Amino acid sequence: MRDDPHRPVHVFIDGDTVRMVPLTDEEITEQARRDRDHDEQEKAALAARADDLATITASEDPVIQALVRYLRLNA
Amino acid sequence: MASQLELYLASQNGYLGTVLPQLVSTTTLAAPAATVTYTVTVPYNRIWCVWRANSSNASTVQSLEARINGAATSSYLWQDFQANNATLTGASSGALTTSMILGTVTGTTSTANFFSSGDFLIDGANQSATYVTAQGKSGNFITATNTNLGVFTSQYDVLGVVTSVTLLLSAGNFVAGSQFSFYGLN
Repeated sequence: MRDDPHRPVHVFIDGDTVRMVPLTDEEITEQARRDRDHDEQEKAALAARADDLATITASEDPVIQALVRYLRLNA
Repeated sequence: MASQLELYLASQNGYLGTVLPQLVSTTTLAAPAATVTYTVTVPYNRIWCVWRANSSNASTVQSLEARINGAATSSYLWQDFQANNATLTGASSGALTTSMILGTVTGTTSTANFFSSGDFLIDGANQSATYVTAQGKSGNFITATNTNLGVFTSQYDVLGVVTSVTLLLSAGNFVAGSQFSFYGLN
């Protein structure tokens, strides 16, 4: 696996010298976990935004209802 | 590219480099990189990085993060203002966290051939009396109608001169073709 040309690397820039070190198996696993967490956080944020929108549109407050009607008419 | 002698001269008073940014290194990634670490070879007061990059992650936007001297401890503060289309939103770390945030890049969900770009300045890099500060800006187009523009500030709450700066993303790798240029300023 360490010879895999598609394996991500760490890049070290030291003046004119650039060194590349492939990620270890442990780092690949940790990166996959971090990416998963990031994706879940993004999905949760989108879901929360959808929930907020549902709460606003379901409001019985006449002012909010008027605003929702206005926004729909002008969307 | 400046030689080590030129870089040394540039750091001395009376040389043109004392008033102009001095290019230390430009690196274009030939392979996906999880991190890019710039080692300080000449102790400039300021480190300026101009970058152009994208992430391999499928989500739309990832943070461009930075760590000083390899420290992954909770030692950083950050604050940003970012506009997504017409909506401007501010956010902050609120407490010490494990990295600076100095920009955003798009992921693989962006339109083909769309790339992100920006720059940041790390200030107070060659002193240890006060904490190191940093400011950055970045912009990107996820699609023609979904766009981002942001300004960022960060602080490293540990005393000491900067010996290295490590760049990483909140998710994914820097894709091949990403380019980083590091300059020194006095």
